[in-house]
Amino acid sequence: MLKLGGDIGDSSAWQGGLSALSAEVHDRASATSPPDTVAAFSGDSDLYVADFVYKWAPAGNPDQRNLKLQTEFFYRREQGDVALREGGSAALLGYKGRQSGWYAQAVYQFVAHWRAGLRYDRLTADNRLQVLETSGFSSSADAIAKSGFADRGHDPQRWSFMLDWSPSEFSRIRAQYNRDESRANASDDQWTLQYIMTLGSHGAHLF
Amino acid sequence: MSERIIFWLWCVLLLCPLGANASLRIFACEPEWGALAQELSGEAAVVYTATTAHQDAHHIQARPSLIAQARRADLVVCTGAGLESGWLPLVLRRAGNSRIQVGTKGFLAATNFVPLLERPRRLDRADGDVHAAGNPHIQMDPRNILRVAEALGQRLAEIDPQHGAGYHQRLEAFSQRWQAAMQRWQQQAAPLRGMPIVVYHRGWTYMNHWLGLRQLAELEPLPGVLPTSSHLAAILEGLKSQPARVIIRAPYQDPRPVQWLHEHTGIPALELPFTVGGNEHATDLFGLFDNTLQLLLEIGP
Repeated sequence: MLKLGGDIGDSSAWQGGLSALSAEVHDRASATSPPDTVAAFSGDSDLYVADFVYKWAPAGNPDQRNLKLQTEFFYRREQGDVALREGGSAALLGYKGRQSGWYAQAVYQFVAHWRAGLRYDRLTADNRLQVLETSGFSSSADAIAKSGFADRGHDPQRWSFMLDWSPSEFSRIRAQYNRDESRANASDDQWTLQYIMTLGSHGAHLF
Repeated sequence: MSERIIFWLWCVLLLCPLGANASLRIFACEPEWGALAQELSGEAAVVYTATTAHQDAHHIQARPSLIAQARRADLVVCTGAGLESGWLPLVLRRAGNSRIQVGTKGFLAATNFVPLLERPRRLDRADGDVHAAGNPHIQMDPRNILRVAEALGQRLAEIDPQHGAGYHQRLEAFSQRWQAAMQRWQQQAAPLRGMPIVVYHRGWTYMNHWLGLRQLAELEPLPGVLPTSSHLAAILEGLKSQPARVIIRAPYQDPRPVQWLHEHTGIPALELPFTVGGNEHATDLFGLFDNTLQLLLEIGP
């Protein structure tokens, strides 16, 4: 893990980070295979994360106006085998998967107590499966579909917009709209109204 | 996998500053303590000041640059009494520097050496951002500056004994100049005694105490809570029967409520430097008080 950061003049500050995580996986079950099917992945899994934050406030005084830009990017690379069982049928699949997810958001406090924000989220997956051995499944395509490891050829994405008002440091009222395209053939319009409050003492804030 | 860990460890090691610098490194939370540390250490130290006069020292973010500076510091000089509780604990923890943690010789809280005013009788969030130990804005009474100077001079000699004699000399010289200046200020400010004032935030208590100014109202309805129109209207009403001579704010505070009250009452609005660097004349501690008194005297009692 590596974190770097600094100031740009009196008004701006930034921080960027990189991290990497590497794991050897033994028999990790798929969460999306059908209920009577067991699919277990074994192999190498590497995760890379990059993050960046930029903050601006006039003369470094955020009381009235300030801006925060923030983004994070996750990338996972996996390679190994998937062992599949369903009743008396069994198969061994070669698996090579690449998934990434990222978001970027901007929150601007345009006047004391009031903030507006915009955010975009996206997930992508490119998973390649190849049947190495099979007994009992009707076809390779059937075994691949039942493993739950195949990607669905759809990249979920979401746009969010919010406006919030903080009467004090201890409470916040937020109106938010999401255009959620998580599902392949339909999109959702979500409206939420939140009331957020803090009770008791709380420590100093992270950057 | 282990190769990857070693690779990242190398990255971290290479980016760490190597070895300690020859001169003492001082991290000052506010400009007044940065200026004082510079007066008392001269060439022997490098002083970094974490905030400017245009920032509210209550509301600072623990930025990466502050953490990097605290990591290298030999001495941290702050106000204390909870003024920096929103950010300093995090800076100290993240700095990973055992020399400057609270309770060690490398941490000096100025309010520990000054009798604090406005110690609250009860602690309740309903009273706003009150500080349990008392009002932390001690810097606008020059007698407090002298008290902190004595503590800081001794502390410098303690943590950097190699230059001990130099610190004692500088403290002696500063005390003499400061006492002479205080006599001058006291004479200049004599006509201001009893002057009725309105302030933005409860930041001038010690100055009022020193000069005998009479504070009639605060634009903040509660300490740390931004002025509201209903509160300003109440102040306006109160000023009709008991007028003030001036409305005072610090450079980092919003000028609009002050301007509003000025337009509705005709009482002059005044931006005082509040700390070193607050305006072009307040370039050091002497300039801070010279200029503050000059601006108050221009308005007159």
